[in-house]
Amino acid sequence: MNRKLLTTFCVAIIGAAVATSSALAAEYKLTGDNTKIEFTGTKPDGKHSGSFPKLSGTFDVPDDVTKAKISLKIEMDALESDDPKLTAHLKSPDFFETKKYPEARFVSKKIKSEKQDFIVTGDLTMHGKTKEISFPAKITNANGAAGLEAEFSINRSDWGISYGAGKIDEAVKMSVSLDTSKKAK
Amino acid sequence: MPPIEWSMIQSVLLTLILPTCAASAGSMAIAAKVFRSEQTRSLFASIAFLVGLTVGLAVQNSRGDLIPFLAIERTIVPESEESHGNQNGPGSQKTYRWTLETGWRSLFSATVVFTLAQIASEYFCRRSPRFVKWAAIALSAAFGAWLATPSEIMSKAVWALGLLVLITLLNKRLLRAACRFPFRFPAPLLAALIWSGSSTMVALLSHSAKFADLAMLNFFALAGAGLVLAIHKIPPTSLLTGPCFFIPALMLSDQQNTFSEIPIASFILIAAAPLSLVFIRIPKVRAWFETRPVALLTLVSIPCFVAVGLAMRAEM
Repeated sequence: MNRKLLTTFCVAIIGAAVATSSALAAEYKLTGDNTKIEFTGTKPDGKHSGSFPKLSGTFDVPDDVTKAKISLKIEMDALESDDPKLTAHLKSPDFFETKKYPEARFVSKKIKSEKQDFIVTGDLTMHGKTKEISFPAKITNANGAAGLEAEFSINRSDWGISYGAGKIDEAVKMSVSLDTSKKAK
Repeated sequence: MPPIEWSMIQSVLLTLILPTCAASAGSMAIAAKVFRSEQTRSLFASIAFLVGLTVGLAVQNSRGDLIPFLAIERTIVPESEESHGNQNGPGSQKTYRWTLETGWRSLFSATVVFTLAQIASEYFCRRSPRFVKWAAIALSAAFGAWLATPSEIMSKAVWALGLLVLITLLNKRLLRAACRFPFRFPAPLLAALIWSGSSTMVALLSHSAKFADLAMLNFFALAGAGLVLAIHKIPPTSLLTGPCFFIPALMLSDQQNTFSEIPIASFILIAAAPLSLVFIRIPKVRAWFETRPVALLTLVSIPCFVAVGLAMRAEM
């Protein structure tokens, strides 16, 4: 009787520990090694692409993905593009003005489930302005790793980047992909 | 370099060149008609330059922000800094802080302050001892330079502020000395236009449309009023006051805020180009230059062309 009681008690303790650990969020560190943020700007006769290779942040993902949180800090001075002259121009006051605004930030506020994907809503702070954005994303969380894939557009003039209005498209395509199984160096 | 379209040229002509030139030329023409005294007309040339700059900037700002007339930045005071006596409680009402932004955004207001202070010190300190006039001139240059100097330079290399003041005052002194030469054609004005035009080329090559637009505003404000002065045969002594501050301050901001391959020597050569006129202060050399306006033009052009050449080599 006592042995049965002890066994039941131990199983209950172990079960509670497992349940608790799975309810805890897994926090993943994000860096340029496991996270890619790319952009494409277009104009009538062409397009240019670039990326933000230096960034840091966290991705807290519990079992319930709608309770996940993403926080990113992007080093704007490290931005790259497909043309060195364009890179210099993008960093100048005509575009990002990286001397005055060396960082951009994204902090998620809400993740909503929609059919097979999710809608991520958060505040994007860039060029001294903060604006709420929402974008669809595929989020996975399994086998000890989390991933996120998203493609969406933002209107650059919402953040005060209005150079070339009428000649260069306002909409900029963004592509975000992160895979926490890639270890941060 | 991509081909320049006619629509782009048309846009620059209608929204930058014509309004700026017309405003400075128009105000100078009115002054030339109204004022009889040559000294007053010459003094008013500085105002005409500012009028051209203001109108040009207003047109540019109406199409998209270039630089504000007064760079005041509004930031939200964090809740932790709000006073404890706030009876409404934190988070119920935002508190704003207004700060004067120094750097390239204050370039217009710094130029206005500098130019008006120079006019005031020349006009009101005419009968004062020389040191009073010089103190007023130096203080106004220092204040203008503080406004136009980027804050990171203030914290890391405050000597650059002193250098900007020194270059501004020396540029003004030497160009004014050149304006006293009895030339038949306006060589000092042409020298200033070459100087201003070179600053525009370097700004264009530094991959910044904003700085190139600012340099063009300076050029056409100078050209508009200068044309009227040349027609009336009035020396452009006061007209050159504004550009003597504007161009070095612009080059400092351009070098600090852009990421081109242009060497720093280009920016310095443009900022200090009129310093090549130091030779005309030597009495024996001065006499030689007094009858050779082309030589004076060449003296100012050399550092300008070297600067543009270095910039083109780096960027093309």
